[in-house]
Amino acid sequence: MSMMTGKEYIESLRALNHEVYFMGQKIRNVIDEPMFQPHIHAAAMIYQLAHKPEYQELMTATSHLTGEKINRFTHIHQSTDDLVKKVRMMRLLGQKTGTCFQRCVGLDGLCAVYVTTYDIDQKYGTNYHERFKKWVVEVQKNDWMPSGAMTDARGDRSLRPSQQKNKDTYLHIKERTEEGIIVSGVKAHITGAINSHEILTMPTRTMGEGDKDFALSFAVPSNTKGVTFVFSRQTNDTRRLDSPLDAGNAKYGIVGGEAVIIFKDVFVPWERVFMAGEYDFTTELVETFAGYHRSNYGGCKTGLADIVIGGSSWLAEAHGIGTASHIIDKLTEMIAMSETCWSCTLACSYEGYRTPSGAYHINPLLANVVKLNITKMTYEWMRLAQDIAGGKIITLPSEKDLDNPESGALVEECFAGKEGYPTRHIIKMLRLIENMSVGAGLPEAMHGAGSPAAQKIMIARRGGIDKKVRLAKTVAGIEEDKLFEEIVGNKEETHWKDVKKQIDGKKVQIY
Amino acid sequence: MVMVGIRYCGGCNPQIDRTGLVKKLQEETRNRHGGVVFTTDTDKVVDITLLVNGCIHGCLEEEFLQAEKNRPYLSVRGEMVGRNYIKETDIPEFLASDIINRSLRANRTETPTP
Repeated sequence: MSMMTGKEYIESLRALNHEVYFMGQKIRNVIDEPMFQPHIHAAAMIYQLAHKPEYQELMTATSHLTGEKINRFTHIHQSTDDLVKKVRMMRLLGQKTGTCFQRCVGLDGLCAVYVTTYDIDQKYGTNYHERFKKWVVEVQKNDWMPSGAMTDARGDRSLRPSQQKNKDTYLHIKERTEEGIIVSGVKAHITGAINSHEILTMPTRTMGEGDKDFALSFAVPSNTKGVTFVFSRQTNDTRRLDSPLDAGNAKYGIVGGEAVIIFKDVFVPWERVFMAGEYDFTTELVETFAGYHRSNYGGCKTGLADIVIGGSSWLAEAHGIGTASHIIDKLTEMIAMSETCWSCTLACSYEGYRTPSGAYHINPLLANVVKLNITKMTYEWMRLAQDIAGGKIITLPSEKDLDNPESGALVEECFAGKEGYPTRHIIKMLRLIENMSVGAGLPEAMHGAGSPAAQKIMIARRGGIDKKVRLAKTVAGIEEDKLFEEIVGNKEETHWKDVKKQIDGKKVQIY
Repeated sequence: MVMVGIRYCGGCNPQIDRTGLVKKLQEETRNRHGGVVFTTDTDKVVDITLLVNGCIHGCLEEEFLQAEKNRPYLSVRGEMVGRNYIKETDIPEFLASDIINRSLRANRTETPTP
């Protein structure tokens, strides 16, 4: 099977018939509902761009497993070039959609499980890696979009998974049989879940020996018996039902259409199980995934920033203040911050390395630096966008009131800007900035791929402070500086004694 | 005898003590087997090249693989050697074993059969 187009992807979801609930109702078919269509369109963009010659260099890759051309979202990175192309692809998609396009969680899950299953097999002589490769080949051949289901509901965070009052707070193995495992539990805020063909699960945290049954990774089709999705509420979500103008980013929505996934006595055959009790590898899997996923944010959020910067500039122009120095200053700040994040993500990709599995991973320290910067800078550039746009972004009348013959014409005339900028266009752009900067997008930038505290833990762990201490002690003269001694041809102490003698003996010009 | 060519990465931000590691490797091979010689002279013809990269990124590898396609090499990348994660303190012993084994194999093939 070749790569799907955007339309073919959407139609492929019709056949899923999976159990989806929203607002207390069982949804007959997600692709027919305007509530879900925007973020489905965002994911469909990935499929569509893969068929464009001008984007194929980024959007496609050659599978190292089959030699076939595949969508890059199903590719296991084989070089630092692949890592760089991935983040370039993220920025491109951010620019085309203005939102989260969801498929990257599954991609990062594919790569993280690939890396970890290899290492598990080396230690335990299991065959998870071969099983996983077989499934990856299916993903590539069918151009599936797997959702990456990592985060559990987690309950009382002070308790381990096995200590929770309700064990289903974490996805876990209930029973092992000859044919496979039976699992139950709840995964929370899983991006793109209801428009994914498969679910790839991973543990959400380091597990200990007592939590063996929670050290779990497997893949099932989204329509597997026992799997239920509950689509999440987000800020202003029902505006999609009001009108395209009021929705803001009407075509592609905002954030990733997250859902809760409930697993109730779900059977998983062994050929689709990639970790079942090897708790000593949960840290590796979680950190490997987190590294990949955090590196993305310097790409996708920079793409979103490109839109917000462009929108803000256009609005300033439309309002007749485009050349005001404070506007130019704010836009420049926004650019500097977003390109800082871009530089970071390029750095973590170029500094990537080959894992024992042969797959490439990003530089973990720099990936966490990317994400930590994103958690702060996104808020700041969105603040500046709101500053430039003005208070109107939260007080505009609805499209219905603009169309109302009683008030619409006068309102539209008063909201006009400079000549040549139709009012409706100004309102469209204001709504886009509102949609992107007020609401779900900011917490997503904060918490997606891990909260700031998680990044700080990783940065502190990998920052190499002890080595930096030695560097400082050497330059300060507390530890021996062999290179300095080679330069001056003497021990440091002797050198300074000689210099003192010269100064005291007035044998130098300046003393 | 085996001649090992040592190449160091630029050392911009090493996670390991590269020169210290090579010193310990030299001691280790000297103590266990006398037939290994090390050189940093890039003009010398060597039996195997040891790439000493200070971190897992391994800058030297790509450059080496492009320039010296089929030449035998060992690569240290921070606390990794080839496909293995190895603690810095254990790397000299790991490398010494590999190099000495190669030296012994080379001696066996050089010895003419009576």
